Amino acid sequence: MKRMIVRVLSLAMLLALLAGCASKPQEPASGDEGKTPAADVDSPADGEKIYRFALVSNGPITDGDWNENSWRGLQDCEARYPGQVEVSYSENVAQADYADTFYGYAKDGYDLVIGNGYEFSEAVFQVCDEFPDCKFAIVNGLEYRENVCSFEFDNVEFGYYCGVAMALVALQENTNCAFICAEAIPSYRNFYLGMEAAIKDYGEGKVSSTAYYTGDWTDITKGSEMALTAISNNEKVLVPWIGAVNHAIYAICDEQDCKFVSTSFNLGDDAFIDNVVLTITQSNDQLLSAGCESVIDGTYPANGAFDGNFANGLNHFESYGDCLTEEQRALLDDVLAKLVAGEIELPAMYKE
Amino acid sequence: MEFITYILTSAVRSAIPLTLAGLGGVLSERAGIMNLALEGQMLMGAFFGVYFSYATGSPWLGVLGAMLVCALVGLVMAVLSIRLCANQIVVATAINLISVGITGYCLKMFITNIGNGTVITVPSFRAVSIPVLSSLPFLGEVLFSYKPLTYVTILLAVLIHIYLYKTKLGLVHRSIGENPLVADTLGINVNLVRYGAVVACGVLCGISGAFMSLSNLNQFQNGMVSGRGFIAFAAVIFGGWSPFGVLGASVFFGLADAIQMRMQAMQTGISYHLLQCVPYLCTLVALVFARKSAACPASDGLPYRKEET
Amino acid sequence: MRLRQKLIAAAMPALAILAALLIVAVMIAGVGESPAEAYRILAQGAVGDWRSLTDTLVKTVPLIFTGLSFAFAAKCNIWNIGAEGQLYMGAVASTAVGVYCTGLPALLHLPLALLAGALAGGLWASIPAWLKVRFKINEVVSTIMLNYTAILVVSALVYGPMIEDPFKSPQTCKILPTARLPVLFEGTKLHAGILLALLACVLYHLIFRHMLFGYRVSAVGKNREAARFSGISVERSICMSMIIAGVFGGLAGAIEMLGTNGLLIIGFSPEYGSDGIAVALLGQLEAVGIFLSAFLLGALRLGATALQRKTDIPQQMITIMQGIIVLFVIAGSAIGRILQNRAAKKEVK
Repeated sequence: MKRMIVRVLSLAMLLALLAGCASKPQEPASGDEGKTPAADVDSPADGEKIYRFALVSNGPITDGDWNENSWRGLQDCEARYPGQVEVSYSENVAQADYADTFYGYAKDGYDLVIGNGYEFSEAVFQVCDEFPDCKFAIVNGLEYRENVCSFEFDNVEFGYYCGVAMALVALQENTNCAFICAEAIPSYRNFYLGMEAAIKDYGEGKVSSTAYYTGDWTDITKGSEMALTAISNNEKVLVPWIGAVNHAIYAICDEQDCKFVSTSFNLGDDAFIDNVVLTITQSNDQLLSAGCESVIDGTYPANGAFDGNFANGLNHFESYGDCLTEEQRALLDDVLAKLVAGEIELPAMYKE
Repeated sequence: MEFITYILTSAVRSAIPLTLAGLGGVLSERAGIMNLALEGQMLMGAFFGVYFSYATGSPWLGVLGAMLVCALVGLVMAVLSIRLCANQIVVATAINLISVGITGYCLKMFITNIGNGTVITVPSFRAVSIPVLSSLPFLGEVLFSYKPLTYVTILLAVLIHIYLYKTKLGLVHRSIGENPLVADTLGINVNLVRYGAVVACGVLCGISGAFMSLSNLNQFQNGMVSGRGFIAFAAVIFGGWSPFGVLGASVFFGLADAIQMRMQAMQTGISYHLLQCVPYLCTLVALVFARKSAACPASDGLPYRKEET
Repeated sequence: MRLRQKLIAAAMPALAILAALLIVAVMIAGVGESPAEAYRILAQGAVGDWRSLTDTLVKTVPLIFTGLSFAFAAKCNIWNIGAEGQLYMGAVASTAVGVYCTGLPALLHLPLALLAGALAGGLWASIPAWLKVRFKINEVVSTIMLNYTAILVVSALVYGPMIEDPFKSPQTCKILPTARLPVLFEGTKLHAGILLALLACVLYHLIFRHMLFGYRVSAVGKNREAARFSGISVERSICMSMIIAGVFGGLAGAIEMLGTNGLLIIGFSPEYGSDGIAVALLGQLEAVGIFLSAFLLGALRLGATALQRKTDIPQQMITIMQGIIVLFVIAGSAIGRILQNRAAKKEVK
């Protein structure tokens, strides 16, 4: 038995090594998804530099939300600079493979490698010193380096604006508010900070709020059950923020006749439109597209951050829900204007 | 009162997928095949339930499609475990892995278009209120206002109980799990019954997955099964390898989970991670106190080789 | 006739791998990519140069330990599905020692941290062991429950008291340099953990080949009642094998922290526990087999990242590939065994 295993596995490794050494590099196949394989080739004949950007995500690229929007941002940049930009992605990357993936892209000569979330920070820092010519970016990153910047949103103001709308509706309906997300990581802590502050300011002392954590980014059932828990706790104005699981929670709100704030680009079902209080989005795609562009035009914020907020439109107000009165809308417009001008005192962000 | 109603209905909702997969596990293990691939089969069921419902416009056909696909997966597992006598745990591990890959791949290729959004409207089940009974004050909501597949599940538990304990074939089925050699000498076709058990397990897991994606919600997401297949496996053991035991174990688990979520709402200050431990620890404690003397089917997990005489 | 059948039986697993590679090649061609190019990238990404080879070995280390963990218990016919939980406990214990025990010289600090990890894993495994021996609770269900519990408890710690900065990402402080496993080769990530893994394999082999303890454990595994009749303490063997399995599991986590990662972030283990089960069974519970299976799976992991970066093959297809390869290898071994038995029977006749 033992001899057999040795033979078997040695054979497999031998085959692998042979495959590695024997064949010469062929012309890599190109795909229609726009993901271009890294060719170990030199710059094109006409001398114009081709920028290669890569996105690394730990979820599926077709999740209808966070990762998909980021990828759309890269594709957007590619479309705006035809022939000059090539983009690529790696999806569903396990934490143990983060560093290897960044290393691989840097070694293949990519110009910008983006980690789609602060969780990539450690891995990026492990690799960035070895490749000083390669630029890295972390979305919602919390620390910077010479060649590592952060693409981030101001989540406190985002949460504050959301909280104002929620407080107004909750007062009206004699109920309370809930925030449902997956993990208590800094971006969401910041959001909830803002939301709580707004509810304190506009809830006239009658509205309370709770933050719920499902512990899972993809478990639809858990998200739905959390929503039902909140609703049974008389928290009937919800703001879910768990990527694609949001849509399941919107369905629950529709079923239970509760209101929600939408942070998604499309609701998925027009029937939900009656339950919407407010739609606010963060344009991952615009943020990343602008971020990539900064590498091309030389404005890459070394050792700093590329900010997204209401002022530059990356924290984006989309629309009011039908249930908000004229008066409430006017109030919200006012709050938005004050946020843009920086006139409202917000709690300090969870940051450096 | 609303608190208790919520906890009970939530428990039943969570319990149904576990019960369905657990019933499949009971059938399989009672015939002596340890089936750790419940997770992968539930995933396949969840995806293909959505796919066929989307393609045909009927959620019932979606469930049927899920059943067929998972029966096939069960068949693959059966061939490998029974005909080739391969190690059942590794086979299960490989099937779980392949299921993740296939469902993710098919989701990407056949349902979503990159950049066009993943959310599609899939015909799904709506809750059914049994005419008079569901208007009863407390019991109405707790017992009689669920989606159709919930009632189907209870029916299946009853049917499988009758099959295993009251029919001749059921006795044969159980004896194969205990001692296949003796069963073989009595002229029973051990392998045929085992094939049937594993395929039936697949079918039940298919229904379970389809329930999750079509009944509770109407979409499929990668990772939506999230370990429930393994909880179902534990429920089989916790329930003493009997259908009603599995139902009870699943409801117990669902209850503990519902309580944990409610405790998060109560803002006790306890870390939400520790609260999420509650269902698992409750299961262990219950096992200690239950002191089940029901033993594991003696030849569970061991391949049976027909001796050539 | 006999020789030919024996050769076929021996070659079966190799043929199985070839069959798997062929089927996968068809799948790759089906999405419009070149199979030959894909395999080249896979192989080169995994072992193509010195850096890749060492990176593969880094990925192999935890797999060896979780493989040994499952195998040790399996020798006693105990199904230790709990390696994932034991891994997490070992990781958090060794990280705690590595971070908070200041002022120790490396000669003390590193072994202390490793010991903490091993003990934590062993203690965590002693729970299902005790439950089994005292209450006859099936170890499969208890280890599965404890896996989830371990991950949650560690999460509570990392998000709570052990968090580096409550205003930043949920991770622990960095482990002090005196507790880190030294890197073996400059410019690589390969650390002394590989030596510990090899040592563990040798130990495992010695225990079951030459030591009385190993003999007892195997005897209990093969036939519990017969072993009891011959005077072996079955309960003791079960407990010891489970605890040692836990020690291996704990070391898997500890070495991942002290060698590769340097700090604890939740989610650091891509199911090393369940991969360890496949590694142990593919390796037929033998030390050499476990090492080679772990290497194969580690290589597939690393090669897969290269495939994603350099081709348009969807990541999900790569997952399917990994599953098919495992499936075919186990089927091939099974077929090989059947053919061998047939050949042996024909000899008797």
